[in-house]
Amino acid sequence: MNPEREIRALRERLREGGLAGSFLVRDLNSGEEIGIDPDLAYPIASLVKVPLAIAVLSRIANGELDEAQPIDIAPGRVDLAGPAGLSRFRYPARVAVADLLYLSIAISDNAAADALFALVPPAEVNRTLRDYGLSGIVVRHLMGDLMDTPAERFAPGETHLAHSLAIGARTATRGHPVRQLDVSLANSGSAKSFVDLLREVWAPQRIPAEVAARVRELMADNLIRHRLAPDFASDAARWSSKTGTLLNLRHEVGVVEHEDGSRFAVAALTESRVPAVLQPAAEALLARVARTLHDLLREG
Amino acid sequence: MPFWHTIPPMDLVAACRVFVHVGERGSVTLGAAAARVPQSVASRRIAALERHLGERLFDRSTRRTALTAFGRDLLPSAKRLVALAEALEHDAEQAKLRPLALAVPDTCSVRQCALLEGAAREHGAVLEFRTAAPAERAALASAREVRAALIAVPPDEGSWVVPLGVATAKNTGTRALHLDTLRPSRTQEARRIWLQPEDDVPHVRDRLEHLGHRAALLPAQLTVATSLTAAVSDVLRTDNLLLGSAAQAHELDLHWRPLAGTPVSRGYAMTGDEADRLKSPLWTHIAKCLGAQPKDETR
Repeated sequence: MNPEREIRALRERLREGGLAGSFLVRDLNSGEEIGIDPDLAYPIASLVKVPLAIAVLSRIANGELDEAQPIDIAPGRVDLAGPAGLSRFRYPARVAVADLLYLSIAISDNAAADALFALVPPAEVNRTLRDYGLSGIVVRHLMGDLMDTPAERFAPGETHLAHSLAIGARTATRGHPVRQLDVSLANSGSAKSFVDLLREVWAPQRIPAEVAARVRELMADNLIRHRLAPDFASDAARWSSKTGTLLNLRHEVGVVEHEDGSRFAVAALTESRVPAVLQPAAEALLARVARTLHDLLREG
Repeated sequence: MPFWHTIPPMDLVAACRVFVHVGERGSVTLGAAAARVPQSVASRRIAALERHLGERLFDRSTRRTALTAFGRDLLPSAKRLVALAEALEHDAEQAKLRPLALAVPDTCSVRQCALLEGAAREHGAVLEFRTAAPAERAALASAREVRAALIAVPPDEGSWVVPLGVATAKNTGTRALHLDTLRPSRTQEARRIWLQPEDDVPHVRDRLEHLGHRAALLPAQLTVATSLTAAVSDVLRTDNLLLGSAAQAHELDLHWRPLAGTPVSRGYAMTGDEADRLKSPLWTHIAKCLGAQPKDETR
């Protein structure tokens, strides 16, 4: 396999599409991998809900937490389009821990995730990751903190201005004047660190088997499927994943399991320089790049 | 019981042949040479014929071997018998050489068909090839318009199995191609697999379409070409692929890769009046014509 030329072409296509990113695809059976800047760290936005789920499920598994424990959720009353689930509720709700996990992964519910962070704070999530030998993903803050970006301060019609501010302001050391986009201040990780995490979930060595199985089920039930799923899911291939979106960041990490038994972990972390909120062309392009890497690895 | 039943069996035609040669030349030595038998055999045959006919044909009292009156009377009839026997043998040779019509797929190469023809002649059959599409071949065989036909059957029912892969103009290696890597993207035109008319049969087309649907390919990504030439022309100009055998790709000077899991194969069986006579002795040559796997690899 000599994929260098294809990878150069993919970089060029990303550039033309206004995207930069960290991509990695790994064959979970053979360990072979192929990527584009896989070690580049990005703020991970909602991808953090996967390590959070691992940490919460580990505490359920060792008896520290009861998955049936009901949690009172104050109404979020968020009127912005985007956040889904409990964040949009108008009245108080009482939801069990296990169901908070479902909402947090399946529809990327921020209020549900923060309710779980109240039980297992960021430092605990970090410690769990280290215990499992997973480095490279750092958890520093709650989901609610992401709701305080420049985007929330502009009128709905002017959100693109927030994107303009976000784009191009990254400093040479990958810092950023917007706190949530600064990899040294935000929850952060790279494509490689997420592929390592997915490998541990799909072929557990240190994570307890029942915890890994629950995480796989939760990710298979993910309902946000407009990014990589159109290029990976089919009747002959199961796609389990989690997305992350914040301002100009568009990420997705997941595993495709083919009928013939082959499994590939895919991580795509990207940053756009187009100041628009909805970018279907960028979604399609980043998925195409991930798929092409997958095909290169699968076909040799 | 008639008299001639009591004598040992005799080859009447062979004896008449010697009688004619000796009678014409007036010498046993010369006649035996002309009949290409040793002199002793010639004498024995003449003696046997004389016993059979009940009279002497030659007068042995003189130094020359002269015909008796009886011999002179019978010589014209003996000549006619010998000529007729030669005509019969000649006609039999001609009948054996009459071509035997065999319906074959249009995927068979001219060279392999020619080699098959040569091998068939060694087994006493002259083949005449009729290339036809799968449905037409079955119809030709059942209407007895051909004496044997290679018909398309599901691979597990076939005597010959031809694994199918994809051929491309560009060399992309020899590893098996997974269908799912052809799934269309939102940003690029989808690549197409051309099916040859030969593969417009349920065990190839329907199965491949089913796998295509499951792998999320567009229906148009699996299309039956109007002709092999049209498909090859497109494959040479584009990134598209041609479904076919490795042997066919080689003949077309295209690069061939198997499909992962060998999901589809062509299967062939031979039917028709002459099928039993041709099938076993020509198995290997037919396999080469079809691009089929050698025998030890079949099932």
